[in-house]
Amino acid sequence: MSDSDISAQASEFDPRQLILRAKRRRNFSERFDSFSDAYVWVLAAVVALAYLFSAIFGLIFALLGQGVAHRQMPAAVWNLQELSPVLLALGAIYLLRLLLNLGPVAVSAAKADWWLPLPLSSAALRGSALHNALLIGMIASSFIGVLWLIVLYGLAGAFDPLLAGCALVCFALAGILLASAGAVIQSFGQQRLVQRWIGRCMVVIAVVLVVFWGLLTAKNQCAQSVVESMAGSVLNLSTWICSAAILLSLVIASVWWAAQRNRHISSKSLRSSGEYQQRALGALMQADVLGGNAPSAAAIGRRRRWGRRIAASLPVVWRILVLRWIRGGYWQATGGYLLLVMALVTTVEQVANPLSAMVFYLSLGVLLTINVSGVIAPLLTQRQLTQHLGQPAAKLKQSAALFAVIYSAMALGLLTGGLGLLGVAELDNVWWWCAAVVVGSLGVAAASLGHAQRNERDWESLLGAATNDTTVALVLFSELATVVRAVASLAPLFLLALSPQADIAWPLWAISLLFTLPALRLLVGAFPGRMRR
Amino acid sequence: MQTGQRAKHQLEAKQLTIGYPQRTICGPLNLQVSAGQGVGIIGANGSGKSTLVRTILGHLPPVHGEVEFLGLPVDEDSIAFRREVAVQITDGTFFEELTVAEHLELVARGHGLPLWEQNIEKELDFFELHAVAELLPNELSSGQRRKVLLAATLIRPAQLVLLDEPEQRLDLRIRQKLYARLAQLRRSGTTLLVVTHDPQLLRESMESALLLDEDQGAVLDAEAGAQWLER
Repeated sequence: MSDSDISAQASEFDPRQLILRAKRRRNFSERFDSFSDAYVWVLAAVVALAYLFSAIFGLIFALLGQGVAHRQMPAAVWNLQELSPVLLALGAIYLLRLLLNLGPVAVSAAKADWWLPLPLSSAALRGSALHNALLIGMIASSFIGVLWLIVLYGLAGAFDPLLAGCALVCFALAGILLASAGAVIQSFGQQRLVQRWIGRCMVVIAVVLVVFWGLLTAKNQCAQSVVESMAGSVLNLSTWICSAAILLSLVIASVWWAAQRNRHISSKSLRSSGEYQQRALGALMQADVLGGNAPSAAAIGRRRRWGRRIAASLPVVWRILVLRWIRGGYWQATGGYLLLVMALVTTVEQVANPLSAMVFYLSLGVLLTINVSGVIAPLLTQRQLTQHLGQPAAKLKQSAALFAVIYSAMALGLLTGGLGLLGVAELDNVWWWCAAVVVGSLGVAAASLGHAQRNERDWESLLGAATNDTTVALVLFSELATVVRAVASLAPLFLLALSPQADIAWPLWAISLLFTLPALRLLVGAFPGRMRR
Repeated sequence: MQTGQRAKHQLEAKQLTIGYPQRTICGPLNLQVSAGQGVGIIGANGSGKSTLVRTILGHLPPVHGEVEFLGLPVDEDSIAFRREVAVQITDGTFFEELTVAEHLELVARGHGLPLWEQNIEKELDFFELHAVAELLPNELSSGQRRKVLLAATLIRPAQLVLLDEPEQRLDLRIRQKLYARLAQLRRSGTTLLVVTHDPQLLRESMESALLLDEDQGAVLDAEAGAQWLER
């Protein structure tokens, strides 16, 4: 048979028909399963969004310290509403970066293995991949838009449905624009170059913020009027209508260009983007921020060198913990959070208030619990480690508990010290503060030990393992108990932040200590053992 | 397929260094493979065997040097390249909703085989997959999945076949049938490039072996390659 005969036969064949035929063949039960899976996930997303709405609203309420006197910081020249346009720019840049990380045009592993290698025109495959990319961009951007509108609503205290609708249309169009721009960049194979530029863009935004902060501190009228007009424009309907019109014309042009360039995206890029998307989905399912934001090769090298130096002289169990903490990048979340808190308190009006301080402690407690449990989890769950290290499981648990307490005490101590230096927390009763930090660290350690021991891998397995409503409730309750345990032990810190002069009643100490018992029991078991040796 | 002007060899790697921008794995290598030749790729774990195959296919860019197929740089995006090169290099991901027979249908019809039903029957017979032909991939054992991947690689016509450890997870009888079939394919003019750890495959189906050792490649005859694997 000649090549042309084979080509003619192949060109008549459309893999989509075969896949569609197989999908149609599924029986009612399979279709219903697939529908109910999608339904549960959509419902879960709606519920999560509602909780997110409440959390953001509560956070804004606390940051503005509604009804509570705040400290006048000399450097606090921004207000939250003036900063909201910056969030828009950051959101757009991060979305483009995310889309470039994801491809954005990609094919699934099955299509890459079975469809992509066929000697057929790949127009259909690429067309659906581009369509998916645009959809991802639109949904992600709309999600950012909803979050941003919640923030704006919380700050402005009023809600104009027409303005919100226009803004959402703009966000959806911007998502399509960014995704099609990403597809064009991918077709030229220039993702890395653009990502480097995005990095520089972030520096430029930071510099602009610092420059404006300097000008506003010096009471520069011109800077003041620019910032005010920027902040005012986000609540102006005509701004959004104009933006929508401009975005629509840009979207038409960019989607056309992306469709033209789509056939130039290499098979290698389509395949590797599919792998990235699969990995990103896994990170999302596991709520694993670190997994979804892989560090650069240079950063990995730096962490490896630093880890080796710092952990060289430590006992083997501590070496595991410290290396995980450094190389796994667990320090970043806590460090970044503490820096953000200090920057907000210093430069944004009204944030230097006791209510904010309490929220900062609460957020740090939850963050630390999840963060520390990630570091210590292998010592508590991987039974083979006892054989590999030649140490009993109890000893590994003790080291994990001690690490959790020290790490939490350092983070809570840094936050307390920072807030004290800035005058947000009054540290007159320094011994009370120290005691509260120690109790808080023990509570966070106890909560993280519990969370790590449950060894939950991801949300799907967590809920999938629950066979009925009762077990689902039990699973969710144990998750909630983790957070409650951490937060309850921080109660003395909350009280000191809200009312530094008030005495803390002994029942509060007793209740807080009750939540620290799992960690205390391990540590008290550890110290006599050491003393005997 | 359109070929380069002076292509003496079907596949040629010139001063090829493989690996990643931050880490070179192996090279420089020089390799010439003529039509109908069978070359086994052997070496210790981590010596770069699978990376070499991926580089030859264009899935990974070379760190240095170049690879040519029929006198032209390898280009996975070219329809002609995809028509002439058959590959089994991964453990394979499957379409969840397609049966075993439908996976083979996808490949056979995608390559324009006019008698695709008979070809599918032949492959199902050869790999003893008749009993599972209508099953979905998640109902198969790992060995059966491997057989489906090999069947999909061999069902279609190709000038060059690349396989990565085809012996893995196959029972002895199927292995022997597969080795005989590879030898027969080679005799009929198909070029084979096979990563393997099995000396029997080298002896029965290949005529030479590329040994990746200490960052270099040395071409041995099949018997010497088999002896290296048995040492």
